[in-house]
Amino acid sequence: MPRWGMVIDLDKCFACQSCTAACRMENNTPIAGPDQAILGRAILWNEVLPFLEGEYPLVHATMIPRPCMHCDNPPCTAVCPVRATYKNEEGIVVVDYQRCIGCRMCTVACPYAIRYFNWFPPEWPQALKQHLNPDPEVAPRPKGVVEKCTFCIQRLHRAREKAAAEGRTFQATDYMPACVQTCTGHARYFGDLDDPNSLVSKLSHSPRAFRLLEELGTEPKVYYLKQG
Amino acid sequence: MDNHQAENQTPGNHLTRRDFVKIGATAAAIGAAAMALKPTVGAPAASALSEQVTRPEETLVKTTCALCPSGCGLDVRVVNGRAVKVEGNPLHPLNQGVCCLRAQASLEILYSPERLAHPRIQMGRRGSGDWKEVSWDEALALVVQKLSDLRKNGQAHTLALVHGETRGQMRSLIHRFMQAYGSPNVIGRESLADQVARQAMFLTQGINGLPVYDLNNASYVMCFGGNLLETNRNVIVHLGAVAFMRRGRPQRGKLVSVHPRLNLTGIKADEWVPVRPGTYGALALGMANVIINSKLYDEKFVRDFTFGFEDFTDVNGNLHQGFKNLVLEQYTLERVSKITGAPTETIARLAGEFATNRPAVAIMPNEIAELNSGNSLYTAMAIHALNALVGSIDVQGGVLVQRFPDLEQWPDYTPDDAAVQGLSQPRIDGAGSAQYPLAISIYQNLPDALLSGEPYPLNALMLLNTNPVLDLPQNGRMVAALEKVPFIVSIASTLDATAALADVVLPSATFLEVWGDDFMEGVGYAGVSLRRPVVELVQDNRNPADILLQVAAQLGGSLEQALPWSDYQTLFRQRLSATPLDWEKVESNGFWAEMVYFYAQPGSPAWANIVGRDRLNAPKDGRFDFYSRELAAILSNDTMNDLDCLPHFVLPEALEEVVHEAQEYPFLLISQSLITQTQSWQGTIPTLQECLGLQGNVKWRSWVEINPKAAEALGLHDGDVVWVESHIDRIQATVRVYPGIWPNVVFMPLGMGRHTMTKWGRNAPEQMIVGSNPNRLVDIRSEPLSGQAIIGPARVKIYKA
Amino acid sequence: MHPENKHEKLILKPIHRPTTSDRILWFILGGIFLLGLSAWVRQYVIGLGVTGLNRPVYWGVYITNFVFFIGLAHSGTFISAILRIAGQGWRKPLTRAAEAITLFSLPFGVASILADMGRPERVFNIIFFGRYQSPILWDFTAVGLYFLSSIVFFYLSLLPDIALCRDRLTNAPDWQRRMYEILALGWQGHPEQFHRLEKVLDGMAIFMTMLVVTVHTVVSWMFGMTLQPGWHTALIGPFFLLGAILSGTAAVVIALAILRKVYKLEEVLHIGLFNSIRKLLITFTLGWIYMMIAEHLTIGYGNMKEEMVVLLDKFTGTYATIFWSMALLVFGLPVLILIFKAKNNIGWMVTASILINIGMWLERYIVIIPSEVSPRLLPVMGQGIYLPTATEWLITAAWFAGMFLLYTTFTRFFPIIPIWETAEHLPEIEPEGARVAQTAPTGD
Ligand SMILES: Nc1nc2c(c(=O)[nH]1)N[C@H]1C(S)=C(S)[C@@H](COP(=O)(O)OP(=O)(O)OC[C@H]3O[C@@H](n4cnc5c(=O)[nH]c(N)nc54)[C@H](O)[C@@H]3O)O[C@H]1N2
Ligand SMILES: Nc1nc2c(c(=O)[nH]1)N[C@H]1C(S)=C(S)[C@@H](COP(=O)(O)OP(=O)(O)OC[C@H]3O[C@@H](n4cnc5c(=O)[nH]c(N)nc54)[C@H](O)[C@@H]3O)O[C@H]1N2
Ligand code: SF4
Ligand code: SF4
Ligand code: SF4
Ligand code: SF4
Ligand code: SF4
Ligand SMILES: [Mo]
Repeated sequence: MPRWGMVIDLDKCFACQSCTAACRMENNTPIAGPDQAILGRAILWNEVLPFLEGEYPLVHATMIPRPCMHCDNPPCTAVCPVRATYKNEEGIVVVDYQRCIGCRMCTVACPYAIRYFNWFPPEWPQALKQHLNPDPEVAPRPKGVVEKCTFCIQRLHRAREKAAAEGRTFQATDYMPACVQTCTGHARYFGDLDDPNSLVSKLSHSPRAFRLLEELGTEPKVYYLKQG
Repeated sequence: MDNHQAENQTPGNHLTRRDFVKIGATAAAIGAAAMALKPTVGAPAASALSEQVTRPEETLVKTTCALCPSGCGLDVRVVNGRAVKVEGNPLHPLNQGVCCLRAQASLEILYSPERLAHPRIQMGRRGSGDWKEVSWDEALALVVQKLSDLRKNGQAHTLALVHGETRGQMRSLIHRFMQAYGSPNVIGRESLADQVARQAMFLTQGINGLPVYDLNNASYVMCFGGNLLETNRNVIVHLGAVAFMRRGRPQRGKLVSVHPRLNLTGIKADEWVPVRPGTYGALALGMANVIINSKLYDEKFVRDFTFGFEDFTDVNGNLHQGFKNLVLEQYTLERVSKITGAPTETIARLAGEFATNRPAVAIMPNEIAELNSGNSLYTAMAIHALNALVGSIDVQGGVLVQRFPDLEQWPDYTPDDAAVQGLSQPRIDGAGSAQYPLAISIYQNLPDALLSGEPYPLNALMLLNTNPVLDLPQNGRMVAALEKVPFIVSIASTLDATAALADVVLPSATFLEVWGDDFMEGVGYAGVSLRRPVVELVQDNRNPADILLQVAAQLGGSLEQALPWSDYQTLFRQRLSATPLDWEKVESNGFWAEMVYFYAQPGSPAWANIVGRDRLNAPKDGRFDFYSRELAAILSNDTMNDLDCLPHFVLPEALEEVVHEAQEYPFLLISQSLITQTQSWQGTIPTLQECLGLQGNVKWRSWVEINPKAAEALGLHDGDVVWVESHIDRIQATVRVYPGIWPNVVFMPLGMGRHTMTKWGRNAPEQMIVGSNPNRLVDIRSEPLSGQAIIGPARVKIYKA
Repeated sequence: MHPENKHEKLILKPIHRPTTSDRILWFILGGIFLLGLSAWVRQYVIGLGVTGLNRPVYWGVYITNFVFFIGLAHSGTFISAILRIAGQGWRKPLTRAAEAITLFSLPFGVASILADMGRPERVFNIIFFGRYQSPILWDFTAVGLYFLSSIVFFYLSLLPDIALCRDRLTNAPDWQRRMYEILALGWQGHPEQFHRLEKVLDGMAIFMTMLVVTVHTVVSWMFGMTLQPGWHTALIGPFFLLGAILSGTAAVVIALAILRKVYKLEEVLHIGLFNSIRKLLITFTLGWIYMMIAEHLTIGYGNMKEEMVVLLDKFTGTYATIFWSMALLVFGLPVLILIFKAKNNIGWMVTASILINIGMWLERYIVIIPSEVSPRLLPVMGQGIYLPTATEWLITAAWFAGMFLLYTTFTRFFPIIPIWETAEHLPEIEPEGARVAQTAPTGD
């Protein structure tokens, strides 16, 4: 089984937020609207987080695009009382929207604050519903449950199906999440961390590589490469 | 069960009889209650599964983005006739498989609830909102009748066509339409945009076009103003190139951003150099001073392939000052440091780095729009002069010249009387006049021309893909000006602020529903991308180009002759036949491109295409003009002095310390668009609104960025709502205390202040104005010679609302 | 056969037909409860968005209430179980009043959780799919067990008195008599029965004491088991527990003072009891401040970046007002009042207790909210905000009203002072005649 992971090179990431938008369009996260957005309830699975340090004119800003880390040792799944969120065999942490009781223990437990709660039923103006991704895995989530980045698991399924239909064995490179595909700086890499020959595995061993809040022992599978 | 299903299992499916036994009899009742609740919850999953059984029809359609001038190739995933996802076309040389967030969100444009479904005619007073939806035949008949009446009455010139960003051959189609109609008044918005960059290229290098920067191969990139990685005409190419410059090749290049505000380019650059707004020119000249003083410039190139570096004597024996002495005398480090606010060591270091890390490029913003402070022409010339100093003209990693595909000549036609008569009239915006000899059109002069009725009043206005009420400084004047025009037709997709004041609105289809061509820019070599409908028309809309062709056909006369095509697709395909294109390939790849750029050796025959090609008055001698001979020829001899032809720096009015307003309005307001905005769509794009202000995490509203010190002095805190007031008007914004901004400068984003009639989000109002438009605070003024709009910085004060 | 208690009449006096003022009180409390209930229904229909919760403040007033109610619940167990084990005889008149608080606050603790859940209708998923790795399941189990055993404990100790009511309150309405009849489970008051009851209660007390320690510790672990700054400390368990006992005991004081006043029970609930509780309260507040200082000093001294953000937010930032008022309410004022004023003065005791309880609610709030407002990724995510909405206050008010409603109703139908426990003589194994004689005086 592959162990899926991502590498984001901050030297090539230009904080364009294309990944943010791509994730929304691929995964049907709803529109929050001005009044909900101001309350911090916008659902964007992959936000770019600004980190500003220093004083004018020596300001240093780091922009960190932040999908789910798909921790190997995920604090979020540990605390779920009903196993509505769990790590699957390939290391992807997913949420079962039909089982989640909406207790938000996982959202509180995730140190990266990447889990989003559906405060209301998802909403779009009628006309906009036409562009929703019809893949069943990303059917809009009901109110009261938690959702988050899935590494675009629907794409993994499609890729497997496609490989099967074409009668070939599925390759790690057949599968690419939406944010990786669109990344304008070609800064995101995706693949099997367990395959020593894969690009992600090599990059994750780069001297520039680090992980967010690594000291917590969550073992994130998203690596960053330092800028500069 | 395969993996996929296993992961999708729901407790709904799981909750079997087995559980009941397990739980035991007492719990059974409870369980039954829970069961009763289950089915409603499990239902979506069940229907999703059945959907899987009947595999939907799915295709990838290749087209070209039109949300900014980059023109990326796109792959649109279409399922059962609906566009559901946009990706970059991996074959496309500009974007190589990626695309920015605007393209990602473009489906929110295609299916926008704000789009107009049918043509409409204003029944009541203009702006009363009393619309009647009509058929295309009816609407076009009305327009054609008005336009043809004007022609019949010898008043063809009193029609003006105002247009926004155009792609491919659209611009020449518009011009040809108006020429055959008989009006000189085609007004594009280049005076708010790229006109001055073209003029600077023309006056120095003799090329009428925008410079192309070969960032892939550059070692040192210095960006004077502008926002290389965020806005910009070729943003996608630059993003890819800077990524390559950093990590794709053995030698890492350096990117420097000069700007009063730490924008995304500054953040991601290797160095951010804050300067006072509007002083880029001085900085460039100060760097030139250091480079010349330390003899770090490319002596061979300067000697053999430039003009006006040294002092020279003209044919009449008059002595003229050259660039070198001007710079050495006037732009000493101390003086430049005082003007720009950058420390002398920094300027000296930057100059040294720039000159010694070749190939180096100095980038002038393609579109010196946002805060042209009245000196943009000479500023752009000064910046470009740096490129010549280090010999970066048409070398790897330097400044290239964009090539375009060959086009078939337009067919000949004989202008009829109406056309001939109309074209003999002057333009209403003053472009090309003695005051603005370099200008092609001056968008911001439109309100004044209409209000004064000089040189003559307009009888009809046709707006194509543009919204002057929102884009123009002091936009209240534009509203008043529109009152003066008896007939206004707007070709627009939404009822934007200008269309709302029109008599007829012809709803234009979005770029995802039309055929079109798009020339590749920003890479040097020639190429064309194909735009095509990815889905059927969502509404009863038409391609604006087709509308023009249909109007032309119905008007008859020289128009019919000049534009004998029934639709735009046939037109652009036919004209492109001069380039050897395999249309099948174009359709399957989405584009055609030469893919290789041939650099010219200075002095070689090919060099003629690089320096001097488009000169009209100056010699085509292959020499780059530090001293613009073209300008010398254009300007009348008696008043002209050497300074008029040399890059130099003029302190913007707003920066003068004695400005009487300085006390009352202590801040300089700059504005810029953001990567999260597109100027090509008037409606609301909710996803972009939810990504809006990255640095300050602002969504759905306007903010004003203030340096922490200034905020403290004013007692303002993050999140306070304030008024930003100039001597013209005041607008509201939320305070963002931001360390990345010059202390007495404040920033507001452009593109805000639009009205929406859609309820966005559950508790939002049915109608609202999203943010505030900083253009309302700015005077309308035009720079001499270039006609470029002087938009910034405006002087403002800030106080709590 | 019933115990011999000279205050029996006094104690049974409140059990009469409801008066108008009773009805008004019930109407008001019931009204508030129904209002809150409808707010909850509305919240369920529309979504949790009607609260002030957001990202990253996922938990707010509801969870605060949960912790607070569970804390209140500690009063009963503390007084009747822990003090029973400790052989503190003076506790006897208080036990029922205290246990009733336990019994009636626990359901509202659970209701607070239900109010907080995004999908309350899926609550049984916890049974179907429960995982013991989750602190929520520990909570669920511990609170459930606690509730069940509290019922049993309470009921058992009520049993002799129900039987007494059945036999004494002969002119109560039919349904009420039938209720006593059924609930008494045929209790005959054999000395043997009393003997066994005492034994069972003694045994249960030990179990309950263990449970009570577990429950609140586990409640705290809902926070402590996450990596959030400010929560992830080993002290959080004991700290929560002590706070719970403090607020629970203070609640008992309030309840007793009201009962004493309204039901004129001065004779039974004599001032000496209050003085005994006063000593406990002083001990607990001192213990509380000790933990408080220990906790914050460790964090402050450790000076870890994320922890300090939360700490400073409490000390000097957004939450400073709440924090310092909380410290004043739980410790500063009560300790002064209790030491200098409250001896032999029930008014001051009650004041101190009310302050302590308001303070303890704020303490729960201040433990929960600031940590969420400043999550670990604060410098990149920015500070969160949280302002509870009307819905949250309504539901909060309703749950408290519900608790009072149950409490006041209970006191109208059952003796709130345990008659048998406070009796001078329990039935002993004696000749038949003596038994009759004993019961005779209360016959009329
Ligand atoms: N202060 C200040 N003002 C500025 C600028 C600045 O920098 N500072 N920038 C200026 C510049 S560079 C520009 S480009 C302008 C931008 O300003 P405009 O060119 O006016 O662009 P928009 O305001 O977005 O209006 C675009 C119009 O096109 C319509 N439209 C959208 N999609 C399509 C389509 O596919 N086909 C057709 N036919 N119509 C479509 C929309 O409905 C809308 O009516 O703003 C200018 N204004
Ligand atoms: N995200 C996004 N991208 C866009 C657009 C959009 O709306 N959104 N619009 C597209 C369009 S239509 C256009 S026209 C382009 C505009 O994109 P850019 O060409 O990047 O134009 P602006 O962002 O307006 O920035 C112009 C810069 O010129 C600088 N400047 C002002 N005056 C002077 C001067 O005298 N000399 C020099 N050297 N610099 C000066 C200002 O500091 C400012 O930073 O962007 C295109 N790309
Ligand atoms: S990042 Fe958060 S949600 Fe994702 S696996 Fe780790 S703990 Fe869970
Ligand atoms: S909110 Fe849902 S996924 Fe998260 S812990 Fe609770 S039940 Fe599990
Ligand atoms: S992997 Fe997919 S779900 Fe995750 S952030 Fe990227 S696009 Fe979103
Ligand atoms: S798309 Fe790529 S470059 Fe853009 S913000 Fe995301 S990671 Fe960075
Ligand atoms: S960069 Fe411009 S052309 Fe390319 S995808 Fe973005 S908006 Fe479209
Ligand atoms: Mo533009």
